[in-house]
Amino acid sequence: RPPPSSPPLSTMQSPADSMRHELAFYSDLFGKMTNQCFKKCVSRYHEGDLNTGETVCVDRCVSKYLDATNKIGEIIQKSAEPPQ
Amino acid sequence: RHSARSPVPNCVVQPALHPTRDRLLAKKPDFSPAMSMFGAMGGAGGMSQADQQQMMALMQEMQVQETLRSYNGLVERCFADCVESFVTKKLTNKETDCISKCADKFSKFAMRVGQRFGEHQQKMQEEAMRAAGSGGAPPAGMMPGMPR
Repeated sequence: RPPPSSPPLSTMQSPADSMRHELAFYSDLFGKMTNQCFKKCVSRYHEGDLNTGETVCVDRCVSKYLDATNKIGEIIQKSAEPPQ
Repeated sequence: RHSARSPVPNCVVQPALHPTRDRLLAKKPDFSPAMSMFGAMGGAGGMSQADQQQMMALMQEMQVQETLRSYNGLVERCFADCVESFVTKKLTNKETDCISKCADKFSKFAMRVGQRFGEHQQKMQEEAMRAAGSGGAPPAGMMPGMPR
């Protein structure tokens, strides 16, 4: 199956450019994901270590966040395709 | 009643007067929680030597930026959560304790996020290679318009 014909981010970039974009994208993703999951999983500062509930929460939160990222990426990709 | 003082010092603060930041900059980048994320990104095949070097330099630059940014972000977060009153000029014991735990917890948290993220990326790469090997369509990457 050929790739979509007009993606929002043109693949006509130099490898260096697309690498730069990718690095920036993942750096931003990491920061936002960390902040969001911390907000949702940690409410008190009783101790410096993560307790069991928090470790379970963070693992699930990361998984869900990345799922959401993929899902939204698909939707964006689809909406950028020309109508069939 | 003390006289009004400008909150901004008249002299320019020299960069060297920020010992913690300079210590962070001098450290090797591999301690940063974000490093586990960068480490998982893996090499890109088919790039020239010059491009790879440029990539390495860029990644190092991003690590430095990320380290400094997360330092300030952490201070902001722990200050917001731990400091409420301004009865005294110095942090109270309770506030110091809260801040220590906050910073400790967040650092460990971010490291764990990085680990899980790296594992996820690796799994996706493996799936992509498997799909490519069997002749099927490669799964869409996370970035729209940039298939892996």
